[in-house]
Amino acid sequence: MFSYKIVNTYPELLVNAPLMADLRKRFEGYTGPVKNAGGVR
Amino acid sequence: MRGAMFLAAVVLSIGARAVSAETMNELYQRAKAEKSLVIFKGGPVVEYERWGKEFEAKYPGVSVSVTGGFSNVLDAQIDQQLTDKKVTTDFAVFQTVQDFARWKSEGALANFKPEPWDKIDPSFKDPDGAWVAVGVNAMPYAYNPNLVKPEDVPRSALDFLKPVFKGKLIAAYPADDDATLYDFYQIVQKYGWDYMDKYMANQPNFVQGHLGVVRSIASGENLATLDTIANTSLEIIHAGQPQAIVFSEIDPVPVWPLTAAIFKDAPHPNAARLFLNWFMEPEQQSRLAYWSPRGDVARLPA
Repeated sequence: MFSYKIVNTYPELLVNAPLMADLRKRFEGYTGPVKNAGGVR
Repeated sequence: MRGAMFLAAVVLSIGARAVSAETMNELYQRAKAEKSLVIFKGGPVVEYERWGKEFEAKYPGVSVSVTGGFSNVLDAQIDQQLTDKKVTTDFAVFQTVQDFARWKSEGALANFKPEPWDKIDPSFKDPDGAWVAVGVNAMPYAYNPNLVKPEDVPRSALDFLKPVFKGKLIAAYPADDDATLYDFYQIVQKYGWDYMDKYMANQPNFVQGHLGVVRSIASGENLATLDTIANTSLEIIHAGQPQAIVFSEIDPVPVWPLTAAIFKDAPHPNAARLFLNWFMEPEQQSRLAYWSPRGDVARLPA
């Protein structure tokens, strides 16, 4: 896996609650709220 | 002297294997007394239902139930169980790693280090054993090879701004899906928020969760995504449906751990430990449709 060009900082981002809240708000400003519901099966 | 050291090493090695085997057998006996295992799995659930059946065949007498759903829905259900002090979930597997960090800080998780702990990359485990990655997923691009010409196959995030994809792109909602948010966040960090203005000008579509993303591309409703999850696309590919994935050599491909933990008040803790130890064995890890967090299991997605 590490032979690919990857970025592996996911946990650091996700535990940064203020940044996550800010990013969610900012991206929702582009996409709007969830309208097209999906599933897992 | 060297011969004596070699002999000692062999004896130690045999001893370590024997202890490990005995532990699994002991765990199995205790798990059998508990009779069942309750797993909550975030995201597509079919894969874990298969693993559950394999586990039941390997360890008769321990039945496995798998509840599937979106990680950011199932985590709220577990929060409620914890609040009510009625934990019915033994083992959770989610993409929302922040939940495990929070549950650890609240003392809700049992520390357990599956074998071989030292083979797991430090970036994919909690040092105390509160949580551990059971797989590592990547977020390459995906497209429909029947509908996208070879010269239009996306190689970087900028390619998704091309007119050929207008109205025919799809992704999960970044504000709803944390892996997708991580994906888009990498792009805006590199290309600036201006990228989002241009991307939205190409009239992309959004759906909740990645199963909808890959099915939409396979059906031809949409042509491409910068936001697939490798194993979700590979499930579609292995089912014979039209889909291809691309690992960009220009933009870094986000990877993230599929994280698991056992709850401190789990009703079937030994069954959960047995399952986690079994799942981390090379025989299972080498058959994942994504990467193993074990450094000694080299299988690549294909």
